[in-house]
Amino acid sequence: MTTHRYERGAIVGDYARGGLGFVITAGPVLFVPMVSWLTVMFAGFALLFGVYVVRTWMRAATEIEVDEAGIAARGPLGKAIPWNDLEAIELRYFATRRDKEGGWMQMRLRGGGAALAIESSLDGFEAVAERAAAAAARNQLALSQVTQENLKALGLLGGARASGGTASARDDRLGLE
Amino acid sequence: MLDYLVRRLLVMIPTLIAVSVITFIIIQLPPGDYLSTLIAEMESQGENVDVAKIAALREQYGLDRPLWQQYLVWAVGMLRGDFGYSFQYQLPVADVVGDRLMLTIVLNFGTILFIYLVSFPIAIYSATHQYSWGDYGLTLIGFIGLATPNFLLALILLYFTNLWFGTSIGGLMDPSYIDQPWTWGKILSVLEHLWVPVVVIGTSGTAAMIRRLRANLLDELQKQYVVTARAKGLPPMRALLKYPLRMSLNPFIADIGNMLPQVVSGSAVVAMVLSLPTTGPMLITALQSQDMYLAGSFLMFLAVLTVFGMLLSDLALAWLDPRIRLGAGTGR
Repeated sequence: MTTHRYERGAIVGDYARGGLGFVITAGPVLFVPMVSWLTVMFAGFALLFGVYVVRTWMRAATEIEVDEAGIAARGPLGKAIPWNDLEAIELRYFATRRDKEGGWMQMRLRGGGAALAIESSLDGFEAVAERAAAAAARNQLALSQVTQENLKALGLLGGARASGGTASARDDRLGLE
Repeated sequence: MLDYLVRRLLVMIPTLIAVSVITFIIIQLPPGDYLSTLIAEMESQGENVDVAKIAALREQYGLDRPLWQQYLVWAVGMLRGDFGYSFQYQLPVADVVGDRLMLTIVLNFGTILFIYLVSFPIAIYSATHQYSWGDYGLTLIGFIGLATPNFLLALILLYFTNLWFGTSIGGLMDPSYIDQPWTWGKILSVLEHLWVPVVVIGTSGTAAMIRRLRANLLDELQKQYVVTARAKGLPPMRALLKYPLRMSLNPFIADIGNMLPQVVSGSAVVAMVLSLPTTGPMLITALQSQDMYLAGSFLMFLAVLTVFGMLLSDLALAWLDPRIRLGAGTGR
């Protein structure tokens, strides 16, 4: 079994982003008498940044455990998904820059009545993604084109078939098993 | 997606602050201020200038304060809904702009809707019927739309709408409704007059959008996955709509951010030709007369539209197509 935690640098960065955003948006709401629609907009943004800070705290307190049987998040709102019950996997890439450089990935797993989202700032993210892709291949899950291309970019083209594809596409697997 | 939204908002906030600073610097760049221009005008007309009165006015409007103080008063004032004072009109900016801002938004929203509604089906038809008579015909119309100057099209349409439908020349409503409260009659009159500027401003944008969407859709339709889908017997409409169309929509969505300010600023010349009560002509006169708060408010409006348009298009793109681009790597 391997245990993974979010990198300290990434967590500190997320706290800084959330805190800065909260101060910038909540400050005017508290100290500047604004027109009502701007007050609502700024309060909405402040709430968003507040939620982000809380989520960062939850992420910092979470450990991801991966073994042959499945994946589990230990910590606040902990949950577990056995690989055999994996029903869906989605791998998405986000970047704020126009050239899409310097972005991050998010993997969302669903199965056994639970859902789990993991970000690429997790220590050993690629190893976790490799396990998830292998499980998706075993369970013959349909992968979206986006997920397939992102798995390819990680060098983890799983054997799971594409949407509308056939089981024979499993032969396309590149060195996962 | 929350991560993306938070990071994107954090990029947007300093951008807006920087834009407001740059806007303020730009409107301060010409030598002197509105009162200097006023004095020069009065002197050129041989009128006496009361120096004490001018100094009092300069103090009253805060023009004697350091620039950074003037900026802070203006920027914080905007948050309060106070956009400053228009020297030219001797009224608060909000009162001067009045219905113009709303009419501008209605006109430009109508234009964007027109561009999408017209270009979308035409581009799909052109791409799926490449090199057919229909494709050639629509391409020709598109090129004519790109090549025709907006003001010329505006004059032609004005003439024919007056001739055929009896619509009054110029403006966004019948002259009898100007400065009257909003009623159903006034709304109907606006709708009656709206389609001419919408068609005029939207034509060039529509033509450009058709060319881009057609080219992108053609690229997608020639990819292997589409050939495979067709070979496996997927119905043609589903083989078109499921992925190729979705993938070719990216430039459509990416354009939202650019389109908003382009349409607003591009409509200024047409607004002058058509005598539209929108913000464009007012912005031009405000810049000419150094009416700094009025001009600054308009420029900020354009900047905010751009920044929010970019935010919306980036969010839509991130939601629709969260793919890594080959050559780009994860940063963390």
